[in-house]
Amino acid sequence: ADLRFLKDYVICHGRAPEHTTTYCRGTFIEDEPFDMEKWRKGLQIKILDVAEDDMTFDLSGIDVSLANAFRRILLSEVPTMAVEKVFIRNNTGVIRDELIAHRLGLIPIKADPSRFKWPSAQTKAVDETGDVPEDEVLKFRLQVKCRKTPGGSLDDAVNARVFSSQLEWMPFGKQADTFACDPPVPVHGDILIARLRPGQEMDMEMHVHKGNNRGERGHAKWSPVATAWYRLLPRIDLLQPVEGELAERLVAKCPMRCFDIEDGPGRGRAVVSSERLRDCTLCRECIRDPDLSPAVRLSRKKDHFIYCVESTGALPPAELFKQAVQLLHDKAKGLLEEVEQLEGKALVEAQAEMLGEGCERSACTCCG
Amino acid sequence: MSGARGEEEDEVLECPKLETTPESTEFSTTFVVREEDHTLGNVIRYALNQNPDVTFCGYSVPHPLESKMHIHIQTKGISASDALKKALRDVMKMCDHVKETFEESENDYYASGGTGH
Repeated sequence: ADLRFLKDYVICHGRAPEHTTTYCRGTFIEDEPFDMEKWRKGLQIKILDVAEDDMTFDLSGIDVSLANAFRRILLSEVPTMAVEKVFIRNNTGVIRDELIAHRLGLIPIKADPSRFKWPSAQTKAVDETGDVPEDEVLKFRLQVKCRKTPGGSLDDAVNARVFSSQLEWMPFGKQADTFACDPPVPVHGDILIARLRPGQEMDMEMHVHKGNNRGERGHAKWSPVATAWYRLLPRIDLLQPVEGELAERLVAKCPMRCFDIEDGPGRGRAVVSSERLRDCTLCRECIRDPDLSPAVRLSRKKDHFIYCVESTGALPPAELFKQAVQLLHDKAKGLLEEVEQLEGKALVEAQAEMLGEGCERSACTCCG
Repeated sequence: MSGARGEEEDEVLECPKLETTPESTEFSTTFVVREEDHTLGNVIRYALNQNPDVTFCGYSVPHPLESKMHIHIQTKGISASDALKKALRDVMKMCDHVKETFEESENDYYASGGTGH
């Protein structure tokens, strides 16, 4: 196959894909040196679909390392708010305390994490609900008692099922004013937390902290996306004309209907459907058949990503992607400052070495 | 650092974010970066490889249980640390451009009648 094709496309065979490496500039003689302006023009983003909690967009002209970095950051480094501490006063239901606490932590909370500070060591160390900074913690309460309906049967009990809508926000300090327009609330009110029977009750208070899913101290409850993923743009080529009965077999095989029959002179010819080409799921049915496999070439474009971001509901998906890009920018900036600091230190040490011991005694102007 | 969750002040001072290994020289350096992983490593590696003055660049995570990353850079003409700085600046510029392009495409989407249904 043409070398330029191999440079831009991953070829998918019956087993593993081939030619998956992305090549840096300078590998091929015809490569021009990296030009930021040209790269800027080559980057394209096209939003395909936006729903309330998820969006799909095309991201192309970008290297896989950047696209993957955005995906990784979306999954684990964009912060959210989630229940971190649960102070249980009473729980006579059958679901044990720690299980309730675990479930409460996983409930997505609709609160904008940028309005909160990262919890300090003291906030994280409290072991009873008391004074905590109002810009670090949100307090919620869950007080549910299950009763028989008067005159009704036991099955007709009130509060037999405890839902996330029964979490009450308890504003303290100036929070009632600060969050008057958008009070913190669980994203979904219909999440079943526990089941109770008449006479059982649950009474607990919880603290919601800002956090992320990063490293050892992170937890998946703080991940802002249900998931975020991308796939590469599919491309299907028919290397030989596929006609007649073989064409009909090919069209029948593809579950996503990526092929069509075009009426040609005489017998019908198979062509790749341009509308449904994107739906190709790489099931490889079209190349499994030994008659069809020499004719069909499945490939994927290495620098064209069809991105899907599904938010848990705390923040809109577009906002999450922008935050992820900003986070990568900030990481690079932080490391740049570290490099400059390291260079500065090295320079100071080198100067000190050159001047030797005389530095300490005389009035030192070099070492700041 | 705003990225890591509540790291104690003392810990950060004892283990610096960025170091070089003892055998590094001006044109052949291994940078040891703490609290970073493939997310940043692969991106820096890509940015560095675009630089024609960089003769070799690679990154590795020495052990998956330890949050550390090595970036090894060999250069000709400029110092390895200059190459790293340029790469980081390029990454920042690329991120800015992605963000701008994304915002433009959002405007285009809503302008042409797209809905957040």
